[in-house]
Amino acid sequence: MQDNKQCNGCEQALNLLLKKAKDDKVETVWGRALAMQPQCGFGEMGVCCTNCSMGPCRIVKISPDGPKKGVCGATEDTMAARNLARSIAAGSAAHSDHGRDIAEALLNFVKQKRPIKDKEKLKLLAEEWGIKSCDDDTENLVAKVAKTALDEFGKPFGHLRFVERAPKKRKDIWESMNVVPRAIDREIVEVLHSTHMGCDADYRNIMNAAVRAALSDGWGGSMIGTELSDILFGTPAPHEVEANLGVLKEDSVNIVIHGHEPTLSEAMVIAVNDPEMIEMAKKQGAESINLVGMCCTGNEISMRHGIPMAGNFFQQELAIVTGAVEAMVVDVQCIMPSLSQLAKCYHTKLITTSCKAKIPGAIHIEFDEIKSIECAKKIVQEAVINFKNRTGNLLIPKEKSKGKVGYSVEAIIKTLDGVTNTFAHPSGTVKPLVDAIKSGVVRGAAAIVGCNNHRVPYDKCHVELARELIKNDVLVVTTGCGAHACIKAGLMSDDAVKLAGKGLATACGLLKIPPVLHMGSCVDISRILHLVSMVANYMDVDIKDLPIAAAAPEWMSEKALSIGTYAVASGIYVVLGVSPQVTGSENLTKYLTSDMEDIYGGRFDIEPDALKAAGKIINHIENKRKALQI
Amino acid sequence: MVKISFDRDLCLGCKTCELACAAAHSRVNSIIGAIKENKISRIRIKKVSGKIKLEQCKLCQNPKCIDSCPTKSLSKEENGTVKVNYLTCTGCGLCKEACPFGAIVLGPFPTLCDRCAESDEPLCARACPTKALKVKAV
Repeated sequence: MQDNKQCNGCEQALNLLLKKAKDDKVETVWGRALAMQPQCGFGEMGVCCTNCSMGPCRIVKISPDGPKKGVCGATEDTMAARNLARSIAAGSAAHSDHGRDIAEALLNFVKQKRPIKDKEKLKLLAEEWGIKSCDDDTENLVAKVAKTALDEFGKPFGHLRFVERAPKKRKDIWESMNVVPRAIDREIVEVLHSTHMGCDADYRNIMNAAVRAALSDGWGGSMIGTELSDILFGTPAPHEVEANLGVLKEDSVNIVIHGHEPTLSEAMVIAVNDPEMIEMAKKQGAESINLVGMCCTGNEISMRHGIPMAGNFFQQELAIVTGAVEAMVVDVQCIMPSLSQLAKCYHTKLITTSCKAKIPGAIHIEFDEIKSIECAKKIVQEAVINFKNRTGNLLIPKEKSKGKVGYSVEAIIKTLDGVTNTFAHPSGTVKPLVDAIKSGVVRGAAAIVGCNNHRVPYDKCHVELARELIKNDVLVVTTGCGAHACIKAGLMSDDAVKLAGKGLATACGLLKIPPVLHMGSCVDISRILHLVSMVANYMDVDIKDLPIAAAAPEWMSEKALSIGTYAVASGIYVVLGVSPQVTGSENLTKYLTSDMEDIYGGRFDIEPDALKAAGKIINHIENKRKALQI
Repeated sequence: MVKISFDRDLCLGCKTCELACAAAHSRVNSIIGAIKENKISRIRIKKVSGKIKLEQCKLCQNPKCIDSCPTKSLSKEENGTVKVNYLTCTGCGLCKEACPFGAIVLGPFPTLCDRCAESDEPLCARACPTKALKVKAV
């Protein structure tokens, strides 16, 4: 933590709470990571296999007479590839199941005759999917779109509909490799099957199945999740929000909503604004109810409602340590099981809401989509009546920053329309962005996404990388925990333009955008895919030809592996700050970091140092520019 | 005397040696037995300021642990290992503090590596998959 100099305010707030955690004698992720050292090298290298009970088997590369094959004969390549493929499939499953839940929510909305937010987007999607409608029957259309989306998960024939969004050249590559995703569930099942004991032993073929599963996430589950969330709850538009733990309020009932799926958080937004609830809070002696978001749920509701962003993955425990949180409400993914123990040390109630994620010691109030508002109110009530249990052991850091969020693809195009010469050119295209890149004012674009990981300095990697890139006129888009890091460091504020290079600063000034754009949650990386395909299609090139790159400097989850893989398979250069557990197999490592470039045009690269990673990305972007002769 | 050499560069931190040690000192010679009987491993792989470190009795010539014991419960065996007299030991922990190698853990009495005196060779070394632990007969 000592060398965490990315943002003084953030660092102070962090250290303050870490000290409080120490004083209160509670453990945090940093303490547990330290206690875990050393971590097993076999697992780290991906050469430990527990796929059958003849194992566990491990390959000993380090001494000459150690076993070089598993009991079944699986080599290091097979083991590492199997393990990686299973992780990718799990990541794809998590994102896609999120997408399925949103599609089901959409169907439920119809059944309850509740209105949807973005009819325009609904019509466009229906048109894209070839679903016919009469103008006056939105309900029928919603039901058809929702059912079509649900069909994507298990349809027996054909391939995923969103694949059609990709440029023709990209689809040709996928077809030639036989990795066009068919149905989402099928691809995940296929990875699990082919990595079963005694199935696929060819690491290249295993990776093919893994790529297909990953593509079914990016161009399937995630994209369904994003598009249908927009239809249901509204497409984000730019606005300002506050971020960091300073958004907690001393005199209010603080509810932190943490997790991923917007169905719960949207209902919570309605519930906390209910006059009855606010009245109840006042009776308990609170000013009002303060709802804040954490992790990707934080991204979702800040994008749509301007709800403050409390923090990212590594701050979930610290939020409770403040002693000011009445309830932490969680659904699925990235919720540390430690929260339940931690909550017991303070007055905080940890409330789990999903049947997919229960935690021993937490209060479980199952979220029912049909009675969503009632459920949310019940949760809010739990929080409100907990206000009186607050102790004096309270410490809310003052630090908070402001930034602009809400850059959906639609919002970006609308922003670009602001500088389109309507007399000469049609609006609603990415032309101004393409022109800026072609002219060299903006050198290219990079996505910074991903989690937090104890293996690299917290938040520093995200922020340093973003700063270095914008300084070199590279537009940065972020999602997930990377977005939290950037907004906390002030990179999404109007002032951040001063940190950008001259070209990017001029472009940002004209468009009135920050140099780092917040595009949403980790599922919303599908927005980035959509945008890059629009740019590629407009320029009539493949995605791999564009001067773009992606980075996941602090990634840790299986979802991140799936994202990285679909990005690489979509032709994007991806720099990881933490190495995946594959280094035990030189062949697989080479496949990921070099062979994949020959096949898909994108590849993985490992670089823990943020400044060096920035150098690699800038270099890559300049090479792509040269190849495009711009 | 059985010396155990440790090659830091070969150690992958998998802690198989720790499991093997605890199992070897359980009544039924199994990991499950060790867990049930609360057996503590007498060898530990740790990471100290970024470097992997071994904590295990080094069979000192003049063991400080023996000197520090107020009840004279520790004694040196013929094979060089330190034996604990559990009848007189009070579990005060002075030996633990005296050991410069951090090799003693109380559980609740001091546990010290006995080089698996009852087996042919120390089981930690036999279990080590990378041969980072090796037996050196002296």
